[in-house]
Amino acid sequence: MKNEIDNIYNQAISVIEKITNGEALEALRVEYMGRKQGKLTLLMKNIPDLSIAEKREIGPLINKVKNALTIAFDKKEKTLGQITNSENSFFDITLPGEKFNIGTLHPITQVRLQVEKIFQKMGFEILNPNEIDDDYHVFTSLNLPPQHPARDMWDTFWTENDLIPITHTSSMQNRAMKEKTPPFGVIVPGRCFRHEATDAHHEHTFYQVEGLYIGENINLSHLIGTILTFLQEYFQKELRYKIQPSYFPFVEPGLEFLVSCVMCDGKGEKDKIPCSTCGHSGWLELIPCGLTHPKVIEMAGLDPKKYSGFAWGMGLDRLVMLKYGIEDIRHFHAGDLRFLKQF
Amino acid sequence: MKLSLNWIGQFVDIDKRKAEELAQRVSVSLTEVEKIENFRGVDVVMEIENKALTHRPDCFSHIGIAREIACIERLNFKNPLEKLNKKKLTFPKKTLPLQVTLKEDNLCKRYTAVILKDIHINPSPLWLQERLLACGVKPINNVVDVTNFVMLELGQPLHAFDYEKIKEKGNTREIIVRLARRNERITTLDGIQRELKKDMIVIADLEKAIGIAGIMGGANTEISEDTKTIVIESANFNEYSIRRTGKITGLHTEATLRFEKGQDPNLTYPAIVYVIQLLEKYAKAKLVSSIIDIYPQKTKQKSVVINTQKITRRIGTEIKDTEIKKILKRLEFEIVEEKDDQLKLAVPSFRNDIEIEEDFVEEIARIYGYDKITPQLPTRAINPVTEDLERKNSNNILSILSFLGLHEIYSYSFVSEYLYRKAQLDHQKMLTIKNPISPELRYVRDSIIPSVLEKAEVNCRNFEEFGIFEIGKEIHSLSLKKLPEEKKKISGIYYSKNQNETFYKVKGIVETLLNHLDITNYQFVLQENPQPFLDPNKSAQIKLLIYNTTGNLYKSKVQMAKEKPTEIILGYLGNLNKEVRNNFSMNGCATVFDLDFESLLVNIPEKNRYHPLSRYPSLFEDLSFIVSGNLPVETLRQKIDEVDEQISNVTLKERPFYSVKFGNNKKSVTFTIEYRNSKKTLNNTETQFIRHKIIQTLKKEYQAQIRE
Ligand SMILES: [Zn+2]
Repeated sequence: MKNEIDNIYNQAISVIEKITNGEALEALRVEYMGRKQGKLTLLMKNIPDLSIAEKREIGPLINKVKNALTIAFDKKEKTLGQITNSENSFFDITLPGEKFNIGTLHPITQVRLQVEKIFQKMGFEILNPNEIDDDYHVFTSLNLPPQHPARDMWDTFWTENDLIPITHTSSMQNRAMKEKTPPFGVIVPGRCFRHEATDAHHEHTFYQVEGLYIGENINLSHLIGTILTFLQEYFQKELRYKIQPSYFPFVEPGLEFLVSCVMCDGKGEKDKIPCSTCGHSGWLELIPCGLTHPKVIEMAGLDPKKYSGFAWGMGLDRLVMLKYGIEDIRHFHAGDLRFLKQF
Repeated sequence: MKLSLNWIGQFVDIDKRKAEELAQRVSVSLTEVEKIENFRGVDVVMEIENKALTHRPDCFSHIGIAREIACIERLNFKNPLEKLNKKKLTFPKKTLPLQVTLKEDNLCKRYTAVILKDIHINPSPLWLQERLLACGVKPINNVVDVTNFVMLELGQPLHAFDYEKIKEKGNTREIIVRLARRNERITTLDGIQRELKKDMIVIADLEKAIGIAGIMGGANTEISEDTKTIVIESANFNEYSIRRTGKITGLHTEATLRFEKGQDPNLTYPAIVYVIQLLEKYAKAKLVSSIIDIYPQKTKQKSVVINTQKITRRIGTEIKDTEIKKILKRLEFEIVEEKDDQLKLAVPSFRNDIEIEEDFVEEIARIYGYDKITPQLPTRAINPVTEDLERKNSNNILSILSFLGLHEIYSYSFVSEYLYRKAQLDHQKMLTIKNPISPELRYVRDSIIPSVLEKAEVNCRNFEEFGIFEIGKEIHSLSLKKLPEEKKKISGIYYSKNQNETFYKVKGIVETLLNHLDITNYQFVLQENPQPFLDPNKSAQIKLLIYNTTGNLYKSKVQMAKEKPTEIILGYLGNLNKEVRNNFSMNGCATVFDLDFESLLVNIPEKNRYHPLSRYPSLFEDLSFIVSGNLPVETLRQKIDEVDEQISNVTLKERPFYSVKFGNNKKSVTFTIEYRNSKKTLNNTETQFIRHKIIQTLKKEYQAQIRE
């Protein structure tokens, strides 16, 4: 038996050396080491019939040979492989490229940057609001003195020392007018808060872009022109618009700017299915706006007889939801990468 | 608010069949019509949005809306008030006594009342019930229904008391309008006992409160089936007080809705006349008093002077004066004086919203039509817009971080005590919200890190490795009297379940960010007082060294090394300690970073100089040293750098490694050294000399062995 093993080993080694292609090598491997009919395997099957002394001698020997052959086969495979690759090199352009993990910006950030860019091109400056501000800037300076009934229109959080997590970025109107010399245009993007329980359509934390333009002889046509120009630039399409009366104490008149629905092009339906984005109406109520109230201008130290202006506000959340058809506003603050990685 | 078109049709000749078109015109000229609905095949109900009418108390009635529609549709308005005001009533000779006393006349502008007897409490006639139902009001009995009906038609809230239940004293009864007394209570019509606050206006008799003024009547004087004699109250209360009381009691009744906007005091009289008429007819009531009318201070006729030119300039389109005058007339503004473009207008008493000239921009524009204005852009000098460097740089930071593989997240500015405890932070210095939605949103955060950890926890369930960051504000309340300090921070975390070290990944991100922003003189030093959530051995402070560059712009390294720079702390990074990792269910390794946004922004230099390329080649050489395992590599690198002016760059070639071959706790550190002289080509002898200096220096300073 010992001789037999030696023979198998010598035979195998000499044949391996002569092999020139991979298939033949694999066939040879099966011939000697195949799990069912390999010569070495068959020998191993005889081990249980041997005496204990023989077992002690033959067992390790077979293992030794097996290991040696494995190494020999592997070595040959490698050399053959190298030859094959260099001689017949198939360059696989379908293999995936090296992976770089690139992050993402929050969709609201992306839309904010887009909005900022458009207004910057139109000559507007950008101001940053305080996150926590005082009553004067959030309400009083906007023609909303304490006890004004319209204060109820804002669901306000209050801090222990009677400051306000801002309800709108209009909180910068007074400061903007005090700091800048008309004519000027500013936008104020920022995080705002309202005392409201959260569900799919409501959020206590939201993002607003306030706009303000002050100059001489500014009128409603300028307000309409500016907002329409922005919206058409943002949505990259012609839009129809409509203006409805509304009420905000810091503007007079207070208006609601509506545009034809960007999902159904104002038809109220798409492919005969009612459009859910505009609630079948064909219109989107997007931007509350108006001419700046003379009291607001006066409180900022400008002469309302000389200067007039307009202001508007819009929700960034809303623009993002419209753009991507996001149905649940809670995604924005959930921090879930399964959501964020899509942007 | 729901309006019956049949009802409106009594005052203005509208075509119910064209309700949709009417609704569109009302939407663009007054307020949005939310719905048009058929009511039981007999009426059409128009539901309008209240918000745009916050300043228009007159529009909370059918006549108010009818007046507006008449104006929008250019139709005739048949005003029922004129008839009611002129109505002659016959009063009986024998009357029942009632005295009305206003204790606070600034809280009650007018109080009108009348007593009716022989009331037959019955259901109302069907036509009246139908009107109420169309407006969403449930019919109850003729007395209650009539008061509701008149309110819906004219806008004046009314109330009926049972006369017999008002305290009688000395053959008379008295109604007193006063402020609530301390600890006074009342059970309102809804059966709820309410504690009254001292600034609430109450209607009282001589012994008790019988109603909360303008909000709800009391159960103690409620009309019942046996009621025979009633007092009708038609009053006008201070809108601010009503609003406050409505908020405190949480009672938002139809009466509150109207009173808190400031109703026209001139309505109380015609309204009570109307109630008398209807109750005489439908409840067989008989007058048993004259009309008691306490009106201490008549509202003055307001007038506003407008300039039609100015108005059209503000609208931004030409509108003829004749057109303007027509609109004003339909809205019942009377022209009292006229001179060129100046008009002096008498403001009707129901328009308490009109105060200044600008108010007429809206009145004219909305009726004339906003759609007739041609959009235009403002014109101004084409001065170049100053570049917003802060925006540019912050946008740059955002894109660098995302390109380095981090995902931006948003989290709330409000946090809970529990979250801070999980992050081993003290919550007590935070500003608190007085009226939080829930305890989880009670504090205003003074660190972004806990929120970032919370979001990391969310993602650990789905991802084995990720990096997230947020640019948010820390709110530091320094004094309760001042606005808090707001610090913008870039805070983030890198987490890996399988990698056993993420520190260098985050350090690499921070370094790349700084390098990319051209911020070069930074240093990472061990933190003396690391944040409580960090592993103290694996946390570093990021310092920026600012050298005084005035004078010599090309200071030599040796000179720089001697100078003491100003230090600015940019932030820190560090690994989370085990407990905090456990608190946020993280199994692997996690490194957080926290950078001060402002410090970063103000220290981004403007690149305005370049280093001339050397005309002579550099020589490169790798040197390996065996040093103590505890010696920081950076210390070694700096030391080499300082050895000679001709060493132009020293970089670490590979990660240091330990081996028993080097001895206990010894590591091998390999640097690539670049030799250069700006004036000549270095030869081997010269570099050998420098190399020797390096080897000697390191040997002397750190017992470093050169590894051959
Ligand atoms: Zn649509």
